[in-house]
Amino acid sequence: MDRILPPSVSEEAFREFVASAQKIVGKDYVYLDLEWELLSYNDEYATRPKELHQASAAVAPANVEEVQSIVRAASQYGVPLWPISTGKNFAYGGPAPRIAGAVVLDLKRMNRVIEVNEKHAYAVVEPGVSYMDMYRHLQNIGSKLWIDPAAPGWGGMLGNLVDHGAGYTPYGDHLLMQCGMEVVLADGTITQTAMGALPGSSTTHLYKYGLGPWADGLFTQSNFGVVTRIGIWLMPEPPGYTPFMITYDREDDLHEITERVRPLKLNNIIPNAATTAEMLWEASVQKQKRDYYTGKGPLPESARKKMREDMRIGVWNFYGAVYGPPPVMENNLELIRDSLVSIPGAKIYFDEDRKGDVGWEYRNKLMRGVPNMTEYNVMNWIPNGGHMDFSPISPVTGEDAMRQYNLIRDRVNRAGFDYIGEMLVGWRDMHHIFALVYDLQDEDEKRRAHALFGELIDAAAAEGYGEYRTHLDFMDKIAGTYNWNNAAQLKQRHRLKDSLDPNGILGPGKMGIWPKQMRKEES
Amino acid sequence: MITRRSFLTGTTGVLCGTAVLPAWAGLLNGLPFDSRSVLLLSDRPSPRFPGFGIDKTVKHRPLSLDIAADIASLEESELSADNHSALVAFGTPASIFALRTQLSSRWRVVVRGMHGARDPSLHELNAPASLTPSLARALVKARNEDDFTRSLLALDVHSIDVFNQKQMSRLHQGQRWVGPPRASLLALTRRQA
Repeated sequence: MDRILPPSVSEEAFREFVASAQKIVGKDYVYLDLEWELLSYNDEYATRPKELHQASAAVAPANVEEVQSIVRAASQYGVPLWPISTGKNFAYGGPAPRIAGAVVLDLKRMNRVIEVNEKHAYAVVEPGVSYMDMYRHLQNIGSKLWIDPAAPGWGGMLGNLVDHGAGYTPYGDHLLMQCGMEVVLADGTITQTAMGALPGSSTTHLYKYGLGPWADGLFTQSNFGVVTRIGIWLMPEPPGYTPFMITYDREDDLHEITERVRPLKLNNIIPNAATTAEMLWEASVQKQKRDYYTGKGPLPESARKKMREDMRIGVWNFYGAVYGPPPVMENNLELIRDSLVSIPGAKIYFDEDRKGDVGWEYRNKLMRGVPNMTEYNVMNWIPNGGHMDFSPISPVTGEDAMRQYNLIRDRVNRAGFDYIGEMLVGWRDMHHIFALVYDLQDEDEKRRAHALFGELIDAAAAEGYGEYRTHLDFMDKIAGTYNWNNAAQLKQRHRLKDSLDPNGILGPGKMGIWPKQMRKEES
Repeated sequence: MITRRSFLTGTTGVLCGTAVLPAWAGLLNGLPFDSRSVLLLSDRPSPRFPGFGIDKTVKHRPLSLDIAADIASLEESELSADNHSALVAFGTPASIFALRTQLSSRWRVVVRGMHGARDPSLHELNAPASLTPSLARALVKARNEDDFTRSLLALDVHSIDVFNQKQMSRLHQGQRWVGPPRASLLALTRRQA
């Protein structure tokens, strides 16, 4: 493949930028070789040609001063940068940039745990710190604090948080648990948000809001700055932890499960992400489709039934946990039993009931903050598996849960794919995560997957549902569905973009936000 | 006596190196004496290679999805100290994908294999063009992944300039491998490029 240049950047300007970058970070940390080095920055699960998201180079600074210098050089030469932390979010495009020719600003080398504060239960980390790194660090120092890992656990804590990721302990709303942020702006200025702006502040990581507008959210899922450090609250190890699983036999049970989960979540009886997983999510982390069905299209009911029997799972499988002193846990478990186990056919399981069950073991770990990769086995479900996640948000009602489930499952099955999904109830909302798994070696299947994804966005939007996160290819389309009052929100974001990044060098196209020179006309 | 210095400055080391290398260890041909070791990562407890004195040169480590995803920490701690010059891995497609995307820039992945994904006797390989014929021949003979592992170890990658060739993807008809789809990987250290 020929060398790709950033859009509207001459070869000479690009060469000069590269020379500057090499001077700043050292030659070993500027990657230019398309054949060997830049492969690491591809969208591995692309459903369209990888060239559409091909980086022209990657630069890996070691500290915030180098980030500042790189940003200034990019601004000088008009080179677009695409910041990543660890780049493991493959369902949404991984480390690949939105536009071909962008230079990936790879922050993996910035992997210091700056602080763990046991007394106030927080940590301060750089972008390259993964959940696995942090877990190991806490173990090494004998900390009694828990992290809240995403599944799978190889992702970066900072990257997941700024992408609005979620986890499975009571601290699962990652952005809610963020406190204090260091950001490099497009002109190279470093800023601290909220209390961090006060010289000598002792509450930078204790009080989120400071004085005046709370700006931290502006730097998440956006391209207004490069986040180089965050404070994140960690959960003190509780005096007790009891995870449980409840299986349900009928598809329609989803309605009643969701209705009953809502008050349990609103009243914090279940303090962590209450997760209702459809059977194929459970199956795909430990089985392969061809063990049960070798035909084309979605798994037939006969095979699904056999799978449920073999694995002792339900059509729906609810996971939750209670935390705290034993009397509190016992009391809450009683309420949970009364509510969730009284649905006909429901069976409740505890740790001792499911020893050796791969699906249970990894959920058990996640709900107590132990990072692991088990969920990634979903890639083994079919040969050459790749995936994109479709993630609409829903109210926590049985009616909405069923409507979303039917909306997605019907279209997915019609297109010849399996529905592999789960619903996670947070404080007031439900994240519906559907993993669209396809064969990366089958061009027709990739084409169908891509078309299906677009269809799902339209169908969800028509019902008033929007997605909270998405793959590179669909950022514009989804941003376009948030179009109330003539897309006032997107226009406001564009005004912010023009003000904070007038040269348009940071993350062009991220979540539908484009710099002026790349923007389509807005009425 | 061969010292690192005499090896680096003269031909003695090459002769000695050739003498001590087992016949199968093509991967290690032409490498400095002190970096002649292969790391073998596999999710099977103990791969068996009857008739091969493999233990002296090949260090076997277990591979799981968790280990693959966290390979950087392993690299930093013990693996880098061993100064391995080549890495061969076999595992589930998800594990090998995780390993490949987590390896540090110290490594360059030269061969990627997917075995039995579409059919138990079909093997898809991504490799430099010059290695493709020998890999194809190996797959015709390989009855299982141990056989193919041996073939990977025997590849003489250093007499061919693998780093300056285009990678090619090819589907090969080989022997039927029993079991679920498997993936493989051969990586060499960047300094060999």
